[in-house]
Amino acid sequence: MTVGIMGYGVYIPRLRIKREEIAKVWGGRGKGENAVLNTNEDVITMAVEASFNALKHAGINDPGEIDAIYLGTDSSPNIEHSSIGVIAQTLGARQDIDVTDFTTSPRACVAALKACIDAVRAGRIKCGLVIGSDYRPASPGSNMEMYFGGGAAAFIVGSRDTVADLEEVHTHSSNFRDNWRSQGDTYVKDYEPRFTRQYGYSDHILNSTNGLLSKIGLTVDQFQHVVFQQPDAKLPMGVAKKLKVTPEQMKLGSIFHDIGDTGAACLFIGLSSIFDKAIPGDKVLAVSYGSGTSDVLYFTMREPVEKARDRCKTYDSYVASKINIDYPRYLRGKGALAKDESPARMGVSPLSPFMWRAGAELYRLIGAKCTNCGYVNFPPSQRRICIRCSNTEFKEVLLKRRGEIHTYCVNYYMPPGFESPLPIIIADLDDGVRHRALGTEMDPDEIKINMPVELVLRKLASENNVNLYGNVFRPIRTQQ
Amino acid sequence: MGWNRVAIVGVGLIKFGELFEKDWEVMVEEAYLNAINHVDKGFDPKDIQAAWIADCRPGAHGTQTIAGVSLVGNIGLAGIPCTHVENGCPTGSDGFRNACLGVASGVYDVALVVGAEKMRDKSTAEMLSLAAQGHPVIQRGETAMTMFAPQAMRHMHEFGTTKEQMALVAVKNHRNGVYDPYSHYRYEITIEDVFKSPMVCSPLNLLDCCPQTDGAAAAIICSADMAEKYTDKPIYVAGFGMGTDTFYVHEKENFTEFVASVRAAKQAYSMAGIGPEEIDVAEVHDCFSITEIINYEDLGFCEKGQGGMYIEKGESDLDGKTSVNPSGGLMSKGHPLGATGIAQIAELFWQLREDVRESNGAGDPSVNEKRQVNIRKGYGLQHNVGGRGISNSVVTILTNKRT
Repeated sequence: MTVGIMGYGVYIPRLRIKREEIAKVWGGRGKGENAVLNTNEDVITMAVEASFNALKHAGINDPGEIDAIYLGTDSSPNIEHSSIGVIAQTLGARQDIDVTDFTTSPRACVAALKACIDAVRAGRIKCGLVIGSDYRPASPGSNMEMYFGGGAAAFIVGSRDTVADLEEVHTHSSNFRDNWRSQGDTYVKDYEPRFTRQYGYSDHILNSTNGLLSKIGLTVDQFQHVVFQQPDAKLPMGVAKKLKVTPEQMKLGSIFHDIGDTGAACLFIGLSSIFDKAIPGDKVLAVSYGSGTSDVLYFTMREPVEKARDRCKTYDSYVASKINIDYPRYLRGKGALAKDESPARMGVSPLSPFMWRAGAELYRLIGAKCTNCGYVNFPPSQRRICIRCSNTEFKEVLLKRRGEIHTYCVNYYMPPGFESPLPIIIADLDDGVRHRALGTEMDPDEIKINMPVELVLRKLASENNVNLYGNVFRPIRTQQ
Repeated sequence: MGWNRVAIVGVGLIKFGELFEKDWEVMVEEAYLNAINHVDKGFDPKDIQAAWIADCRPGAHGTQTIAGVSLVGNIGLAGIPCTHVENGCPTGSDGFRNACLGVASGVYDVALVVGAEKMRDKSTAEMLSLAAQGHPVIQRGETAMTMFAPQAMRHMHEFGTTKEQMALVAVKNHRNGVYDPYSHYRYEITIEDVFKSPMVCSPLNLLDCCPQTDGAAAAIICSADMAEKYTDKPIYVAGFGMGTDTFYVHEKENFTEFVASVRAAKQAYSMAGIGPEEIDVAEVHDCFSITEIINYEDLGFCEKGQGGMYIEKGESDLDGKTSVNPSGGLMSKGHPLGATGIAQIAELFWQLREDVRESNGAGDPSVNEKRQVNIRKGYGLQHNVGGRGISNSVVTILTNKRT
């Protein structure tokens, strides 16, 4: 059975920091920029955006078709506790699906992809969602800070109408430590780069790639596109030279310059960028590396990729949609610059049974449409009697995630635990349902009544290191 | 012919402000004593058969216990029934309304209602932590500002109401506040001052907002038939109404009016048997400048959408068509939630008796009298609106006419 990618989607955060901004503070030199997270983003929120894009690209309207969700990340908010729960509820996945977090290495997304493809091949599942989402924490002033960025990409894996088929994989692994983060470490650490670059990244990639090529009997020049794990700008160039991969072959998959080292999302994002433009018949080689292991994946592009193009939010469109920020703003985003104050205590803790009861409808945006008057009551768990007509019969509906601002305000003085200025948006969604939520990625001076907005999942608060998620409005970011 | 079954025979206030030196209990005692000591023909506390205490945020003051006993237990009245009322910004006026119901029922002849609020013992940040209370997602970030400011945005959008018109409300109410000895702030401001003050929650600048104020107010009411035992100039409760609206902001259909106010006003006018044109003087809820503009429309002082023009034309000035907030309103006098509604009633009590000059002996009579409104038809209107989703409003109509 041929198994491959039925659809894919990327998400690149809108905020960017130019590496020269970091160099201004800590010295050194830097070209290009890193995609960095807003205070209200994390691995989970990025994964959700990429997954929505992937489902749409694959033409999957019913999330019930998903049999598995595998997440590859190196920066989950929790060491114990899966990040998939919130993602699954937001997407509307079934509860009898297979869920697994893959972690501890920037190659985690590839490990997840291999597991999912195997599960489809084995007939255990028909269709899986595999996500790479990452924003590894780099200490201010460290080498890694100059490189680390954030982003996510999601693949729908299955055997029907695939845009790219996985032909072969090969792995090379050894006990090698270059980057690591131990229990209690806030930031990723690294060992002497002159040692780790050669014996870690380069040697493992050369071994895995040559191993795959000899296994399949192809030469590297037979691939139209090659993408390597991209911890910086130079390392991929070094292995490319040794493997005789040309800059032309690497062009589409090179993402480091624009968004940085996105760790366990890197290879998926690079592949997505290639899929955006590759044509049926193209051969694609993707080489991961992390923590002493390199996987090589060999894909062939298929005909459906052409048909699906108009459903795709491209990597390029995300890269182009950006807001450049300065170093202090960047530090705030990653939590390295924060006021010494206690956040306002929440009336309802994120841990409470309340969120367990209400989570699914709040993340997924489920409404209860009155069978009598048609008013959509929200949230359904609290509205068992229609507030407009007192009817008690409802039909479950999904709220639209797009709408136009009816009215709004921007609050400049919020208590500890909130961002200021904070936009509060009241919008009429495309189905006519009125919704109120916080705003994000909005310039206070640009908000206007009737402005189009979309609802995206974000981190709203944190209490005892437990995050609370909910949907917020942001200006429409990319068309489609 | 109004309802008029209940009469007010005495009111008491303390000077509103940042009363760091006063316990909540002290504020309550002073307002109570001020009331009983200014009843025209004298008053024996033993006459009080039941009491109501209005306090919206009991957690914000020291002892944090605010069952009814926190009033009667602290002013030597332990023994009589006392009920705590909490109902958002109309807490004080709803306390008064409930006390009226108690007296009108015939169960009690004389009742005391006290409203008090400690707004400054907790830090501003702690007071704003309301933003983290309520529904963790749907009401995340919800404060008074973020409920009223979107109304301003929409009102400006639909009716062309301007920032200047909103600022005029603040200018007028600060001007009036100069003449009120109980007012928190007693200085005049200009439109330019409003525009130059920091942007708090767009489109509202700091001076578009009322301050955070400590305060207490008290009223003694009795059945109308026995009012003359205490005074020859009782003020009668001609009518009242209370309206509600949906709980969550997203459930609101209309962002250019306060539906709860419209409902409360309709009931109150109907009960009093009058219309808005009979109102000489009104004490309305100006928590923000836009609120007063919308109130003009909701209370029927002008047509829908004309609130901005109403202030611009000076119709709500002390010598205007219907004088609004002669006391300086929440904006100048302050807004100690539980006390606010009862303080408004106290102001109307003096206005309708035409003894603002005295104001229970506070201040300089020659200054006080500058805020006396010309009482022609003998009706005054009190109004509060607020609570989560701005979903709660009380309107009370008072009159100096027995029949």
